[in-house]
This record gives sequence, C-alpha cells and structure tokens, in this order.
Amino acid sequence: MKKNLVAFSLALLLSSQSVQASDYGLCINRSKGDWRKQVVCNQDETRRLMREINNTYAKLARDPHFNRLNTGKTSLNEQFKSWQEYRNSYCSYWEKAQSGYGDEEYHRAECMRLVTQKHYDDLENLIEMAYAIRE
Amino acid sequence: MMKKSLGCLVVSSLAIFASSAQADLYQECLDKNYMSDKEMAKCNDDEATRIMGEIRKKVNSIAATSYFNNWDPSKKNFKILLSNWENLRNEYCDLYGYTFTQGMGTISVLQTSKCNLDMNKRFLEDLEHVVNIYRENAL
Repeated sequence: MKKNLVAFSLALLLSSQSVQASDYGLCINRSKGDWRKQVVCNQDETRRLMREINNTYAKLARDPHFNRLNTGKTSLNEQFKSWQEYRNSYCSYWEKAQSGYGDEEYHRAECMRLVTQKHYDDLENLIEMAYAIRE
Repeated sequence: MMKKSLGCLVVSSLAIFASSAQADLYQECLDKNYMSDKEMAKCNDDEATRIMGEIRKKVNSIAATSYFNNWDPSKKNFKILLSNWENLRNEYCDLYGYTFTQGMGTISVLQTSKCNLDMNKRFLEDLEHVVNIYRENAL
C-alpha cells in the first residue's frame, strides 16, 4: 500500500514537472518570435528552476548524512551563493558577446535559464546518487 | 589566401594532435594506476590542472580582443569570473565527493578529483561557447 502511494506521488511529481517544462515551450510558442515576450518566458522558467533548486538544497540540508559537510565554508548556503555569483558573472560575458543589436536582455535571460537548468540537473543527479548509494 | 588557409589547417591539425596526445597520456596514467584510488586521483588532478591551463589561455585570449578589452580594461571581470568559477567548482565537488561516502570510506578523493576534472572541461566548453557567439556576431 505504502509502495503504491510512493509510486503514485512520484508519477504525480513527474507529471507536474513535465507540465512545468512544457509551460516554457508553450510560452515560447505563444511569443511568436517576439524576443521581448521570450525574455518573460525565460525569466519565468528561471524562477521556477530557482524554486526547485531551493527545495533541493533544503532537502540536502535536512538530510542527517550531510550534516557534517553543512558547516562554515562548505555549507550549502555558501555553495548556493558561489553558484549564483558564478552564474551572474558568466552570463555577463554571454550577454556582452551577443550585444550590439539591442536585444541584450534576451540573451542574458536565456543564459540565466540555461545555467540555472544545468545547476538544477547537477543537484538532481547528486540527490539521486546519494539515495542510490544508500540502497 | 591559399597559404593562409594551409597555415590554418596545419595549426588546427597540430592543435588536435597535441590535445589527443594529452588525452592519451591521461588515459595511460589511469590504466597504469587502476589499482590505487589515490594514484588515479592524482591522474585526474594532473589532467584537471592541464585543462585549467587551457582555461586561463582561453580567458586571456578573450580578454585580449579589443572588444572585451574596451569593456573590461582592468580585466577585473575576468578575474572575478575565474575566482567565482573556482569557488563553485571546489564547493560543488566537495559535496559531490562527500555524496559517495557520506562520511564513510575513502573513495570520495577519487570522485572529487574526477568531478574537478569534469567541471573544468565543462567550463572550458562554456568559455568556447562565449568565444563562438562573439565570433559569429562579429562576422
């Protein structure tokens, strides 16, 4: 019974994620090539990913196995800050490399989404690995 | 024109040859030390240091273009980018290595070093991406 409930919750979670992912695709389709509207699509998707990332960090912080690591310089909070600093400085290069056509805002928003997605994937892999190792 | 193309071809062939030779050295090092996590971690560290050298070269080559030089003459932003990158890599890879043992066992050193290497490769690709965008835009 418990197993079924877990499987059901997982299916619900996966389907809600695919709905979210397609929200971005739909938003881009609806923009009909208007880069200003696509800036909003990218920003919304980045915000969604940031919420997921925050949840993943919170999940790690609650996990007693990570307690030893979660202090001082190695704290998850520090990691989150470092990642944000890196993303912001990398995206200013991305933006600069593309600038000159007046659509810098679009490139920055796209870079922020892509780098955020990468970090989200990294953290998800980490969580999966942590649980797989314990089994 | 013909000479220039030939020159470019020779230079790029040499670069490909040199990078595949380096990759072979890395693989050789792993093959030779497959019995020891510590030694394999050292192979990863050496390769990560080599890639870091490529990263520095790439960053300097971006900084040397007049376009980026005008934007960031003191190269302050480049230094910040590199230092932010190193912080992120080290902290993420500590977490990655720790995840393998979760406080027990010794394999985390090997995993941490592999993570450092992979992250360096990824950053080099990300920098190449910026260079490519700039080149395409400059055409």
